[in-house]
Amino acid sequence: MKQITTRGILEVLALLGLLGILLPTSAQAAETFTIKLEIADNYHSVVAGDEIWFTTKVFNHGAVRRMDVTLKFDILDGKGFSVKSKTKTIAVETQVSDVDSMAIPIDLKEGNYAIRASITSLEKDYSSEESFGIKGLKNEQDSYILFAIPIFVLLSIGLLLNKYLPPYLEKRSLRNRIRGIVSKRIGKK
Amino acid sequence: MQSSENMGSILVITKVEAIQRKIAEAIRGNNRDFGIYVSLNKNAKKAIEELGKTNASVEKIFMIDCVSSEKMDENILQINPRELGKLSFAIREFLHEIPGEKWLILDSLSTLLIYNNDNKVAQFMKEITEYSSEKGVHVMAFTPKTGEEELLNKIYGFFDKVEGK
Repeated sequence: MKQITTRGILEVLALLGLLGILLPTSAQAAETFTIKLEIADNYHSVVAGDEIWFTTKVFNHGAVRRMDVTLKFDILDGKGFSVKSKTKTIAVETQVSDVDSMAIPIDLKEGNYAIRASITSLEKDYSSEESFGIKGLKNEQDSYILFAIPIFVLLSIGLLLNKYLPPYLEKRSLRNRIRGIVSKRIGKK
Repeated sequence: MQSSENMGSILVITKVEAIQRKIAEAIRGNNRDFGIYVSLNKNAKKAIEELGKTNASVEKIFMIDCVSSEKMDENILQINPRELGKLSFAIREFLHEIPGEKWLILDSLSTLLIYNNDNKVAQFMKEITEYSSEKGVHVMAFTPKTGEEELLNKIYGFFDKVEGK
């Protein structure tokens, strides 16, 4: 009877231990997320090379404890392909609001894009995305630079000519005058 | 004044009233065909008149007038005495254009000090004497005894001979 009691105790303890593992797992399995990404005001139209700022809100509906969640951010082109991504881990208990940014690749052309935030869990994936546009202002800026360089070069040439040309022309005029005076008196060489 | 035939460059320091006479003597005594007269004391017309009175041969003289402000004879070059660079260039161009052996006279170096500092005048004289020496030009520079020792001390070394020191 003593052995049965000990064995029984051990079984109960094992069962309790198992429950201690299973319960949290089942609690996790019960977790569901809501994710909402919002692009910050003034960043719905950006220039390639600039940063785009956004807020990601994560709600953990089935939370029983604070947990780490890996957020993945993707910049999607017009066809839905990811052109840039990054991940970060945040701690969520019931909800969290995360402010972050991503640099728009400089080589992206003008057009419609989206930024997507997603969480991958054992059960399912959660995501939220919002559209934004890339405008070609930086290219225009490059055009301005392309115009500015020749203007600067022309201006520099103009200043140099203004400085050196008059004395050169004056000397040339003087030389011609002296030649004329000498040839008139002596005759041409 | 000695015959200038074999002389490179000479600086003559003399009384103001004697300068014109010495210049006329130098021109008469010069065997070279043509020369340049840089007139710093009087306008070209007056200088030629005075030389003519002394029987110096004015046909052989190319004048650079640094006195007149109004335009005169088109065959006389007028240069502002403040523009030493231009004056130096003009003298060198004349020396380049005139064929054969030639001479150069500057009638009053001290007058240049009215318009330029002594360093600039010294630099000008150095350029002229060096160029003339290369070209075998006989240079005669005259200056009155007016006490510009500082300038004279700077330019003595540029000349082959100094008279009246």
